[in-house]
Amino acid sequence: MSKAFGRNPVLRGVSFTLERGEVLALVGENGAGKSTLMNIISGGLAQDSGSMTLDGLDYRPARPVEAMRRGVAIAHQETAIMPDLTIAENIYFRREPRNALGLLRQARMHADCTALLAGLGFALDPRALGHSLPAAERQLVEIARAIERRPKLLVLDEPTASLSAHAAETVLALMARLKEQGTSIIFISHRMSEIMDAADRAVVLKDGALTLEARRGDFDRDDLIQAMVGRTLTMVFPERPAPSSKAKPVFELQSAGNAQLPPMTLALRSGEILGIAGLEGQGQRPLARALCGADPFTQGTILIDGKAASLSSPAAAIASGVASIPDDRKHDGLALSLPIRMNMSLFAISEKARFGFLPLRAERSFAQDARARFSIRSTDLEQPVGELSGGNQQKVVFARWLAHVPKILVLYEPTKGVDVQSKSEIYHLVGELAAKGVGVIVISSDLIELIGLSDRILTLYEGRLSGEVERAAFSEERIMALASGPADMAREAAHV
Amino acid sequence: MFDGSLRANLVLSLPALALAALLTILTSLLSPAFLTEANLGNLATRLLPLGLVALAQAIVLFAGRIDLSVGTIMSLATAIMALGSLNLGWAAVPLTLVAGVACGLFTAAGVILLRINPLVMSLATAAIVKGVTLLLLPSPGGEVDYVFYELVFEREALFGPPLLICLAAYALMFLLLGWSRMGRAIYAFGSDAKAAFANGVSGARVDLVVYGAAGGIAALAGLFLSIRILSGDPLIGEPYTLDSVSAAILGGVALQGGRGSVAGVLFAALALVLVNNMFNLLGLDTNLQAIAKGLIFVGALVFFMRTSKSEA
Amino acid sequence: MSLAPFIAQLRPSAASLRALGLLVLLLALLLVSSGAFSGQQLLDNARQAAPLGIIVLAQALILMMGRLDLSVGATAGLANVVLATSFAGDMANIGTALALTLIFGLAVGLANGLLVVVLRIPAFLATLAMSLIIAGGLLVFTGGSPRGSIPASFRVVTEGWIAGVLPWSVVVWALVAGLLSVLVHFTMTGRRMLLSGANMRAARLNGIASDRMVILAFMLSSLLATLGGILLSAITGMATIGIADSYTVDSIAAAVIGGALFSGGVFLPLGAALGALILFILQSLLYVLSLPPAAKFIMQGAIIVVALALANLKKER
Repeated sequence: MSKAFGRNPVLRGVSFTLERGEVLALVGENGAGKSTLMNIISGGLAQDSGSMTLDGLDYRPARPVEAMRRGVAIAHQETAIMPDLTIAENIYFRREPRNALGLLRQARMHADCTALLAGLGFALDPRALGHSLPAAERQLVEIARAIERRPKLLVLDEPTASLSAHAAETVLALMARLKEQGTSIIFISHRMSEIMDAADRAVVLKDGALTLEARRGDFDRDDLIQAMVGRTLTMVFPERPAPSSKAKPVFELQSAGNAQLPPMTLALRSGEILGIAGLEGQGQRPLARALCGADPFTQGTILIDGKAASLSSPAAAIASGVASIPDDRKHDGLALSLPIRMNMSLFAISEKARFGFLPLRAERSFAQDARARFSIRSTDLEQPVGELSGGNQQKVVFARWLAHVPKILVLYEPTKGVDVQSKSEIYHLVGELAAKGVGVIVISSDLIELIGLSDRILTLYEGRLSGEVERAAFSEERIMALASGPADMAREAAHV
Repeated sequence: MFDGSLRANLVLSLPALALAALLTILTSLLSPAFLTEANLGNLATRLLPLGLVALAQAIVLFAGRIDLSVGTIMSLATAIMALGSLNLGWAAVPLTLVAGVACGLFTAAGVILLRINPLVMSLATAAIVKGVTLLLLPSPGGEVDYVFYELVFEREALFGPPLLICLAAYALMFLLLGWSRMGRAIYAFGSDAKAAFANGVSGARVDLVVYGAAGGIAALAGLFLSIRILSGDPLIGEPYTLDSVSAAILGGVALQGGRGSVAGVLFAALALVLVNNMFNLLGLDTNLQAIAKGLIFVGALVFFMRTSKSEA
Repeated sequence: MSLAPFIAQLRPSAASLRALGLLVLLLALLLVSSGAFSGQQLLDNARQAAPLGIIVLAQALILMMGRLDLSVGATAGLANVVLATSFAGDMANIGTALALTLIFGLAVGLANGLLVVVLRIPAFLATLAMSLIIAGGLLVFTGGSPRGSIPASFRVVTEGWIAGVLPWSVVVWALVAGLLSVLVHFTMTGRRMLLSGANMRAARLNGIASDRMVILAFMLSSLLATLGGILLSAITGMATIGIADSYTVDSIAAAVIGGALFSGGVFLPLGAALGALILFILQSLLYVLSLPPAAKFIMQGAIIVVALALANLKKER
């Protein structure tokens, strides 16, 4: 099979081949073009140029259903689980067993599903409804559905990102079994150890272009990282002195929690960048939402500069000096239809307003300065922010806080869907703020980002802090082990 | 039998069942006239159009859409029957139904081809259908062949043709929605349109099916209404639009789509008819009914919105 | 001192200019077909379109909040009955009459806002239910035949011309449109409303009291609908049940002609005014051509479909 696309600027002339019964690891940073590529393969998007062949025949799926018909199945990382259908109904969706009258055989389907899940080694209840499932189980359902279609080509988009080490092993073993049966697999992962173990070949994307293609044994971990990032990490991340250990804590949580978040205790020093790592769905979202006041803490104590503070609403959090950058900027951060100016100026105008009237001149000059300082690429200040690229949109979100420098900055997946250039600019900006004494909390699923940026990393597991690593001891394995939780560690120990 | 999501959806119908039962008991206690054969027959007669139009609305809601034109489609149906039943005879029936389906497909076409917000598109359809109806029949009148009346409404009994027709329509839809792939796709699309698309559901097809079916069923409701009043009325259907949404919500159907069962909608439609019946039996001002209906509607929304998935 | 930022705020949008073009086209057609169409006639049309025009502003404000108000017609009708009843034909009652009418209007808006914000009912359903409750309430209160009338000296509001040149109602209409423009484009409250309308979640996360902005918008909307109802009453001079019902869909049609979008975050008072005027002229044209009243509804629907389809096509390009 060969595929070539030229979808500027997301994918630039990418070509590669996949053999029957081969596992190909597709590697790249967030925003490198992997998901675009996957969407094209699975029929969610059409390429602008280039072609694909499948078993020697032209392959150009216009819709997901065509891809399925040709024997291509994809398990998305953003799972496509219908929340009001059961696991079995999700897995067999549109391929339900029917009787002679064409009516669905519900009982038969649930029985089939039980057998399927047992065979795959997934401990799931076929009758559980989609909306009741945690992220890890949704991921397993997504994988089971793709496998049940008995595809020629199976695409697994970060199948293990939300899985504990034990469940991830089950999936990797499954991949090995499918490979022996002749299934070709494209496997996307951020975890280097998995890639080294499972992949027959690796393809690395950077900024939409292919930067490395190598067979097993011809590449090592450093080759992959080099190809992904394209330059040494020190150039992407700001060079910073370690924060003084004498610096006072600017932000403390003491047994603070709420309905979705068990009580947690942590302290953040002034000028420190604290990374929070974890598998997907381990409480990152509730934590981010509690810190910005959207789903506030309902118990425990919050101290800012040593004094009790309230984060009971977004307005209260902002007044207390906590700035938040949400992960989903399109829904939680920006008014996409409104101009850049209005999206940047909210805090600037609040401070300069007189008698409730808008300080229009001050707004304009603020927006001009901010746009220049962040080198936001747009036609002018009146361009709707929805027309900008992801990176520029994210810079607009950051620019808002120029007028109101916070004491604590909370970043949740700050570089999701952001190009590498903007990414580096954002990292340097965060570094500058930390140098000014702002305490920074970075919640991210991107370990490279956390390792490059943080002074200290905490891991979350099932909503609790499960480990702490200082900068000197940073390593991917160490962090992953802590993030997989105590249960897994105990299981590992029992195996030995 | 009722496995998987079917069971979860039937559970959502239970409050409506309880409400209908409660109202039955309450009304029979308050008024001795309630349990007479004539009154029960009257109940079934009134349940038929409301039940059908609520069924139409529910199908659209399952897909996460809404249709604010069902009431005007009912009016249109009465107009066609009043003008056509004497000269065309039985041919007026398919003509009416086809007109209804066409109205629904018009809404779907606006949603699919012109990408107009479904709610607003159905509002636009409602205005156009109302205009067409008024062109056909500027004021109440016309005549529906008595033959139809004899067939459907002559016998005043609880288990007469009206109730049986209504139950048959519900049974058919219950089967199609719960045990066919299209039904499953409708629920899936309403549950999460993006996920359904990723799994191969065509949104356009779902829109065509639900709006087309709703138009046809609403026309059927109007058809029976015209048979009952033996004439046409260009405005008679309007209150039914809100009633249909009201019955669907009360029956446990989620506005966001993907949840609920037609069983609950039937109980809820029955409950609304019972409220109406209670007002009549107790001799209360009929105008108070409009207020009561509005309040029931708000109450149903509050009750069910609270229990369903909360907006972030 | 530069005035540029202020002028920029007032620059008419492309959508308003298109509506203006449409109006000019329509007037040109009228001129060609009837042979004579004076500025006087245009002003007279505007005079009669003023009630609709103000109700369209109400709808445009709610559309800016990304919602729909299906109770504006019923609210205007409520104002009509309350005003006529409390006036009882005597100009001496003007204070009570106006106060009472406005209080009723504000109460409707507050109720709508609370239903939407506190009980989280989708706005179009909350306002639909509200219009049903108002209609029922009016029938119960009046028994179907409302009494009272508007004194002749008050009817000057829509019947009178200032110095015979400018109708009072047009002045009121322009004043309301101007005040709303100032609110939305020059005040913090207006900016907060605009941001909430464009993206409620993001606004809330940035510390804006979006819920309050929604309630405020619904109260303003009902207040404006009430004002429209008052002007309408001054035209008819008496109370009629359901007199303003068709204004609900009319207001949506006129607002979309004026470039309003259902996605929220857009407020074009000039577009809304032009939309109302265009719709009114089209409707009187139907009357002049002695088309049946049914044509009015078909036109309503067709306008909504065509205007939105054009807006969507433009977006896709």
